[in-house]
Amino acid sequence: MKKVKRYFLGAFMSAALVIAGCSSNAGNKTEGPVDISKLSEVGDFSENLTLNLSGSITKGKAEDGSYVQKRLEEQFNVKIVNTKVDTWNKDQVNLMVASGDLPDTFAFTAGGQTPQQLHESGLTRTIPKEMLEKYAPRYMKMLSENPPGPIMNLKKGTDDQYLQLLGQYAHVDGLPWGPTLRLDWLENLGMKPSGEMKQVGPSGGREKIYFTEAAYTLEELEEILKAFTFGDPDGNGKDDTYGILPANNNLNWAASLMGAFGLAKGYNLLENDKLVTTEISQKYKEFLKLMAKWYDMGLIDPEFTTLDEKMGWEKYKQGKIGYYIAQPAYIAMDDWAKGRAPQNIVENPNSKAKVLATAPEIGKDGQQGVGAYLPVTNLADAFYISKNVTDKQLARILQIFDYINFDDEARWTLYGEVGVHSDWEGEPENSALKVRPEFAEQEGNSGFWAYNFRTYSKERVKWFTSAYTLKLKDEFYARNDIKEKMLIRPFKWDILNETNLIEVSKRYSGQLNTIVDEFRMKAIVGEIDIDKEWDKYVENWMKNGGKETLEELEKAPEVTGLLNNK
Amino acid sequence: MVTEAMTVKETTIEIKAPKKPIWQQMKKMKLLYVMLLLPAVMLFIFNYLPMYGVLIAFKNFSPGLGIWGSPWNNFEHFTRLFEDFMFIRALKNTLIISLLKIVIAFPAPIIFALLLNEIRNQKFLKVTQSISYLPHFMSWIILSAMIIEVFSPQRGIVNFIITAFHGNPINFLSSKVFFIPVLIITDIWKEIGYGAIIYLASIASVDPSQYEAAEMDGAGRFKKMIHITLPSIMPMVIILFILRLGGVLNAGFDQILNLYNPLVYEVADIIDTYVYRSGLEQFQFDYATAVGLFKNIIGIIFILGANAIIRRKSEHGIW
Repeated sequence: MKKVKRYFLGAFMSAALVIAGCSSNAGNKTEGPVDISKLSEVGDFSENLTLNLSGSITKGKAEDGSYVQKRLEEQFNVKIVNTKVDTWNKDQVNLMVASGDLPDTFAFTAGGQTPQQLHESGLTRTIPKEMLEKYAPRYMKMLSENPPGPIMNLKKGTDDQYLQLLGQYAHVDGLPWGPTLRLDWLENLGMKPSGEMKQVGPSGGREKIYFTEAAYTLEELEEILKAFTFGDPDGNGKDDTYGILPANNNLNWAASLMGAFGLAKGYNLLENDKLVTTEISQKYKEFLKLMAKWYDMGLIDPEFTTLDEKMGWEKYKQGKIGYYIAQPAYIAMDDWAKGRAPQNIVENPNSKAKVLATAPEIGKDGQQGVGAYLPVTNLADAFYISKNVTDKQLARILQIFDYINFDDEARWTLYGEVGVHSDWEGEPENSALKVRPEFAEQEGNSGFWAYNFRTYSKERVKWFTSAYTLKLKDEFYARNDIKEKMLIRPFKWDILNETNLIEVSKRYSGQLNTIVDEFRMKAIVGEIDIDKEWDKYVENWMKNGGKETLEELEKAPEVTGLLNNK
Repeated sequence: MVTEAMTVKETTIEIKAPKKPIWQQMKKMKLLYVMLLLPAVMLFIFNYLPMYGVLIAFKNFSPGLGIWGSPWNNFEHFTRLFEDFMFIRALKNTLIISLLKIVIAFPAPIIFALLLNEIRNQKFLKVTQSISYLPHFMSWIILSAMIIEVFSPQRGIVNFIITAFHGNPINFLSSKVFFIPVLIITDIWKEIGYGAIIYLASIASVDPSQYEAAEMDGAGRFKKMIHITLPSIMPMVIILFILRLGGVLNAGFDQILNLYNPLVYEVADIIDTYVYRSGLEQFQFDYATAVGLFKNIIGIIFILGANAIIRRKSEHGIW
């Protein structure tokens, strides 16, 4: 029996060692200087290559032999292997990364690791600047037009090795959020909105949504919310309406309310010459005190504690809430925003509801605004190249990348041929494109979006944004003077990865988020006295990773400086 | 007095052949061993080999370096566990919720099975059983939406009843006082029917002659339940109880994750939910594995401890 035991133990140890050997694959063999002269010329696709490609939008549903796949294979003389992983699914992405079994190109919508972590883990290779200049000139042009793009995401200690490729986010330019009120309630209550009101569109529900550049002060808004809560604005004779419905899982609902205090979630600011994050600032304390006052007054729907943002949209649709935050695309009723508040209240053709979008609320000292979607520049996201990709493969990948993402002639990779696969929603070249129902909108039999990166120039934004949203942005949300006056940016930001903020965040963000979320909710519902508990809360935050976070933030450059260097 | 049976037994012992070596016994039953090979290999590959991954609990895991290549971290994850006051709070919450569930929810299917056993109308019995099984087959994500509606302070039936009696609506799911009772009640509701199946099967195997004898002695239905049915299913109850103790640090991740909110973190944030937020969401598989290992060790200690105590006090137990 002892012998049998020994055999089993031996077999187990051997298997373990074999696996250990297999799973250890450190080091990036594809790094170092590139002799670009030995690589093929631009446009020379004589050698057939096999590439395992995955894009930003990939949900693992790209069918083999799709329209886009065939055309790309023919154009670039490659054999494309599709990835069957849903890159929007955090669990699937994290498992794929942990296994180390990654496609040649990849980008994640959810999960994953930072570019530094992926590279230090030996999962990605660097991308030489020289190769980008040769094989992806349009991409490099875009970077140089968006400073400090060319010096972002460089491998530490180098000035010509990029850890990832970046996307241009022209679609998030301007104020990402703005407040809305139930206009029919205001009318029922005899409260005439100030400023000129314009309809967002002529039909499809848009005729019931109005926009005004006028803004209410916080005091005026409080009066409106009081009337919404206690004035029976829907005229049903019941006390069943509320002013505002927050969400329990994020702070989007307060984007413009916090803006009235000069705050934006997740950012930092200088307060009394001291660097603080939003969540421990005195201004945030004042914001919380106002919310606690509104809760105590009964203006906030008490059910919010159990409702996340999506459930909040459903509740808004029931017609009992008067105030809601919205993105320009929500009020313009773009397809992708269907079902979201506040547009969901007017979706039904029989709905008598009307919505008024206003400019962000004005705070005590005239402060008005919303946190910028991106802290410094409109460059974001990450497109990675696997460590297994050779220089020869990279040269081909970069040419495909540059073409499908930065050459507008490659629109067919997203929408096929207009008139065959898709049609303009309204005026040609000046409205959104709609894929015909017989083709998959993304991936599937068409292969649209399957290999593209999430990068959108102003021109490309037009392809998927309704003319109504574009008009709203042009007229207000992304107007230069509005951006200048109302976009709230952090005081400091580590955009060049010069600090250890990523490591600190990975280590402490779970604890810090728990402390912040718990305090916020308790403060709003009046479970704690904000003034009495504030110092204890800040101390707790500092002790659990806040101190380390601030120390790293101190090392980061000031955003004003980064912006002025443009 | 020496009985015939005893004599036979002694004789048998005397004539017992010397035990053959294991390899000879195996050779004799080689076909059976060949049949066993496939499941054994499968078990080894899928259940034992992955245990090698537990090593990352002691390392700073880096996917590119692999499990073996990642550097050892001198028990850093375990040190971190006990330095983090939130983990200590989560551990306390886990134990409280889990023990309450063991005390209150564990006996519920036993009582339910005993009651079902007393139903004489077969149609009613089947309908009752089917209805009680139903919630088990629904995931917590669906049930949580239903529970939020049922306990809603504005639309929920529970608060409708409270307000009908002139009470003030209660936000059950945001109340530190009511959240845990809601957890336990909904857990019982979900699992009571399905959990009763195993006890019903155990009851079905009770020798009917015992009931007949009890009837002859004048025992009523309640007495029969207490003195025959319950003792008969006790070995099963004990085995399931010991196994349940092994999961003492599993307080119901799915249920809590779908029902809790920051207002009740103080009482409801358990190890799994905290690690989900601070570990898995931050891609800290190594830290999450350390927590998993810690939970398993505690579970094994509970199983072995409970088994030893029960063995000492009775003849039942797993080993």
